[in-house]
Amino acid sequence: METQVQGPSLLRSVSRIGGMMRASFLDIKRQAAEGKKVVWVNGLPAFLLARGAGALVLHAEGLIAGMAARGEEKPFQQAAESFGLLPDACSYARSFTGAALIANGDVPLDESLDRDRYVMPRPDLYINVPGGGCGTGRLWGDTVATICNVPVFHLEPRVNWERSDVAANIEDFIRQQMELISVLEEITGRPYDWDLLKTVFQEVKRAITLRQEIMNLCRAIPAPASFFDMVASIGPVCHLVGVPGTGDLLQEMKDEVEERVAKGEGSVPGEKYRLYWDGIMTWPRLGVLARKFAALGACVVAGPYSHMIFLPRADKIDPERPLESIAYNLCDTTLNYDYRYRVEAITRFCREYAIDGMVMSETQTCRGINSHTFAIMEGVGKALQIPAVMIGGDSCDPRFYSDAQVDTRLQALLEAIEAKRSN
Amino acid sequence: MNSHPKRGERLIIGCFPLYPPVELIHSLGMTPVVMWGLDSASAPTKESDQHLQAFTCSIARRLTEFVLSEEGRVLDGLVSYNACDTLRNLPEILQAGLRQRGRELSWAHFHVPMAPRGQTDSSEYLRNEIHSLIGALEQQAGRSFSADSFRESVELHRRARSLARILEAPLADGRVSFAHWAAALQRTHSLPVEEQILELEGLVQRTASTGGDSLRRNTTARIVVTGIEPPAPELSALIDQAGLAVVGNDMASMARTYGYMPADSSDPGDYYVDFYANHKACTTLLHTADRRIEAVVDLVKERGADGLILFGTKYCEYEYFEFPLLEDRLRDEGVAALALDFAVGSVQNQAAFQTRIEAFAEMLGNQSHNG
Repeated sequence: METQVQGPSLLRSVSRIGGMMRASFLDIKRQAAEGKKVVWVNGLPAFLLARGAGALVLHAEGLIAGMAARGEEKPFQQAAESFGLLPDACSYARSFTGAALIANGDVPLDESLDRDRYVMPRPDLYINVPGGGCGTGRLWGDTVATICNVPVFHLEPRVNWERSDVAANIEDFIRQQMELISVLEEITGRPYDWDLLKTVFQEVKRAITLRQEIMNLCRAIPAPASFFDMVASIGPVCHLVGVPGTGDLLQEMKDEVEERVAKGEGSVPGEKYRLYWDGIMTWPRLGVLARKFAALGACVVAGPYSHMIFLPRADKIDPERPLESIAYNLCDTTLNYDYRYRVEAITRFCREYAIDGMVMSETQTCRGINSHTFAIMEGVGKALQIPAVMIGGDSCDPRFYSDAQVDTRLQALLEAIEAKRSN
Repeated sequence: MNSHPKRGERLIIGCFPLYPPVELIHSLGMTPVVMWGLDSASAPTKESDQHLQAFTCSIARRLTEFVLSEEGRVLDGLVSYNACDTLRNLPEILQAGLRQRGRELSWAHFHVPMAPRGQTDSSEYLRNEIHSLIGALEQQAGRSFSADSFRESVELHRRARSLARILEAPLADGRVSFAHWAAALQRTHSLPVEEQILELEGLVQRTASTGGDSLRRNTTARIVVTGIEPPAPELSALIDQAGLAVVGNDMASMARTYGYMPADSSDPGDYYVDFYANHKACTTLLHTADRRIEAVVDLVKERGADGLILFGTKYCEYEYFEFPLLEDRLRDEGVAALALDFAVGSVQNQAAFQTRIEAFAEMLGNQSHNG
């Protein structure tokens, strides 16, 4: 049962992002109908390279997360299940495979549904850019490319087991990007437009820097924006990254946050607890969770999914050196390191955001994110002497989420924080 | 898994996933043991459950249970490479679990690039990885790499794998029961290569004289079996009982393991670049994913099979993605497919699998009768 109480104070600017995303997908459809090349992508924003080729970029998780947040994901998942994918498979991948089956006409769309929302333009190329060693993207990309009968290109940012691995991994990733550029030239039939890419990167630099500044401002107590604001703002630094207008939106978001800091206003009225979120956002319950935590005076302040994955190294973005910029932002990031490094980084991160407790959200169909959960909980929890709870969830499949379970565990977490404070 | 006692001074190195550089480890005077298909199918996983969620695949849960339990004390070190997301994270989870138990194991690792060779040539990267691995293994072994020892180890493994391939013939001819065949082959799995060769030579001799006429007479249909984990003996027996003759195996721990060996062993870097590039396509080797479906379809056609059974591993996402495309391709060839999936403890639910296998056999029998 959903907790019915006063919700958090969400940022006005953030409420515009959903509309921008929807407008973007409609625009892709319109331009594709005019004959422009379409590239479908999953994963991390190395797909920016496709913008330099003048192609339209449709980001799988961006599409699916938005639809799941509005409760519109089911037809995609039903299409994938009719194809034979089991419900335990990654729900991002599963849903997007369903989107491919519908786009390709292999699975008919229920006539009562809005075709503008559900039928995407078929791709000319698929690019898979897995993060943190995710191998599912490989099969996901191959499956979608097979369904749509288009070529697929796999980029692979490799895990840094040792600090000394980074230089070689970056060098190899630049080599891989050069190979992708050759493929893009074949697809578009024209030489790659490096000037266009550098122009795109001016916007990228501005957007990423602004978002980083917003995140830094959220270290304030009370936090002027929450994790839920920050996950909603992934769109402007992922699917929409490099698109004109995203920098302006993030500037507006920063202005709002600064204003709140100046006034001492928090995202959660009467903030009593500051929490860390581990795992992918359970998109179908974005609003429910934001209200549930706020109702108890708990502000989920930050987490790796919102803060550490999507172009987190603003300092390394140089519009004159786009390939290096991407390579650093995919290879030299916290989640691309081994577990010990991650525990140290997350411990520092929790200190910076003055975290009282950890919510470990099991993204049940994501093996890459999930399997370290106990180890992170143990390592960070011990280092900071803060309590943690595990809650069920999943990126896009609400069947793995239970309100009653979250209520009970959240209550237990807050009691543990209170007990620690009273001691 | 039958954990064998330490043999003299040879260190025992637990390896995962399925295709580690066993020749290299052996050449450095250590005994590699591939920790896959551990046979405690219905045993509790209490150590593993402290570190992995219940919705993790049985391979990872049993492997973790083995390493962290008292049985795992037989190991002197670990060697791993990347496969799926779960196994990519597992070595660190094992290390953390061991530290909590006051234990420690050295860990050497390397990375096999996942991009297909048709797209990108990552040979140089992999060659460097192998050379780094040699350095880490030399530290584990306390001795230096020797090209001569490596060549000798390669020849021993070549012998073992070629014997295993010889054993495919009686299976393909329908002369041996799959349950007996798989159990016998599986028993050799965790033995040192020298003992494996002796066991396999004995098996080759024994199967050479097998007539198997009664088996052939009672066969309803011919099938190929596939999957990353070998089925439990009880489940293999269900196939025989249903009158299905397994004429081809595409099991990862069987045919995919001994299917290919490079000819040139003069340099370990080149050897493993060749080994992984040309390895039998496997669900666990991402760079082979683009040739995987056709490899299975070719096997089904070559053996004249009527059907295919996937012994799937529950929560193995790679199999989840592979099967719909495979099923689709087989349908084009007029071949039926059945997917079963198994988790820790599934074998106790034998009746459900029996019903599905019998129904599949009946369907194939009817098709063959009508066709």
